[in-house]
Amino acid sequence: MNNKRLRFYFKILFFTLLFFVACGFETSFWPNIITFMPSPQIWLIIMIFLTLRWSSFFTIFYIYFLGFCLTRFTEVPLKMIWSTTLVMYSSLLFIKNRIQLTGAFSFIVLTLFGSIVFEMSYYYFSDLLEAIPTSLMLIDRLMQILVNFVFCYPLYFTLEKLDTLLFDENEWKHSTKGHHEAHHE
Amino acid sequence: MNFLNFNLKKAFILLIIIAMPLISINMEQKIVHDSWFNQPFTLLAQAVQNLFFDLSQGVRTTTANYINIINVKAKNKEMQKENDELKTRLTVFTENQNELERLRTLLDFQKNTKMELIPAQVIGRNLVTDHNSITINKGTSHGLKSGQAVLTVSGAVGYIFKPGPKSSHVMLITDRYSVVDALIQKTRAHGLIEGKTKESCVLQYVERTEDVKDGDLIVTGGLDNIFPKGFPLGVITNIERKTKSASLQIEVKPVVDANKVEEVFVVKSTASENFLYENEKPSNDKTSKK
Repeated sequence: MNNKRLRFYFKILFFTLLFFVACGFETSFWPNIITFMPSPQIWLIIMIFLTLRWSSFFTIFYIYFLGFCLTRFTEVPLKMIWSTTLVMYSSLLFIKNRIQLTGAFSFIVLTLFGSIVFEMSYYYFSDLLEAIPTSLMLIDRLMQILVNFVFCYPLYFTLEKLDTLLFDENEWKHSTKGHHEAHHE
Repeated sequence: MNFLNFNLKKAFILLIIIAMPLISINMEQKIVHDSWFNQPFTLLAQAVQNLFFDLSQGVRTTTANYINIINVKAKNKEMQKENDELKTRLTVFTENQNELERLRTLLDFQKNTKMELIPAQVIGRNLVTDHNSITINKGTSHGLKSGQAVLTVSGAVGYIFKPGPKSSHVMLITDRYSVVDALIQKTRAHGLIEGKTKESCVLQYVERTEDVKDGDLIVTGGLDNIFPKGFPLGVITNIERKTKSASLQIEVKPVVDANKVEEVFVVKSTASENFLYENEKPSNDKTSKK
């Protein structure tokens, strides 16, 4: 196993653990300390970050896997997580290359968009797939979107630092490109 | 042979991406117990949640001490030292006193009931706004099973929904999937309590002719074989009498605020406990219990 591949696997493992830590923080730390406002959905921000940064087919499967991990922390059924994340992933991919923004500003705009898409698709899919659909809870949903919007800015720098530090995306692209070219040849 | 001249590999991957949510929808049709594949993820999730719970307790204690230190800064050095020490002691003492009172109430309740109870601590809340659940630090290794009632001294909280080895998810009575048999204490009219929002439930299937008023107490009906009969559930906050409907639409506020609950009891066995009967004949029943 070469060094690049090892670093790539380590990155995947690291982000999975980070995802677990984020979920634990949201369910067991935040509600015990700050009771007056909902915790930011760090798991969702991580998923949005991965969608925007890791541009490959691999990402959607990894997001499905993270969605499965998420069901260990909540009673949300797998069908709801996978359906909503697929819609969110597709919407983000669609809009990503159509806006002329870069860096942190682009990320906060797209997180806002992703959070809205998630809440809307959850409401829609719940109506479609669940026996007892969820209610609108407009204020709660708006509050959640707002909290995600506020917290995504500092989280962006942390996630970006970790992403680049562990295994650079460009390096990854080059290695996969080489791999694909070799296959075509 | 690729007649349509498109990338078959990409098309296949795209098919899998779309198929996975569809497969997951189909998977929901049958109830699958925690399989070997799920277990490491469940254990990891539980470990992370326990870790953060302990950490939050530490932060709370440290913050309380820190606030005390800031408050006595303005006073002189000698007094400051003494005051700081006393205040810290007082905070700890008050906290201990509160905890002692709370635990004494819980202990009294546990002693004076026929039910077999397992005490548990709340270690987590839900991730999304669409579901109302809590996580407790007891699981199948402590004898917990799916469908067991979870309550506090003041009223019913919910029931075990997803038990893990070391922790369990509790579906609150306010969750939209929760259905509990209920009884209006005053009129003895039966109905079903269904979750509505984070802070309210709806009592359904109560006849229009029933004499119910705002503030009436709703207790558990006992027919669901989850909760003991006559345990407080909530208080009526609003009654809607629709002209075309045969039953009333009653809004109920739960007596227990699940967001503030720290300790709960899981009912391992109700042993035919009837709180309704006890309320009527308290003297006879208490002697028989002892």
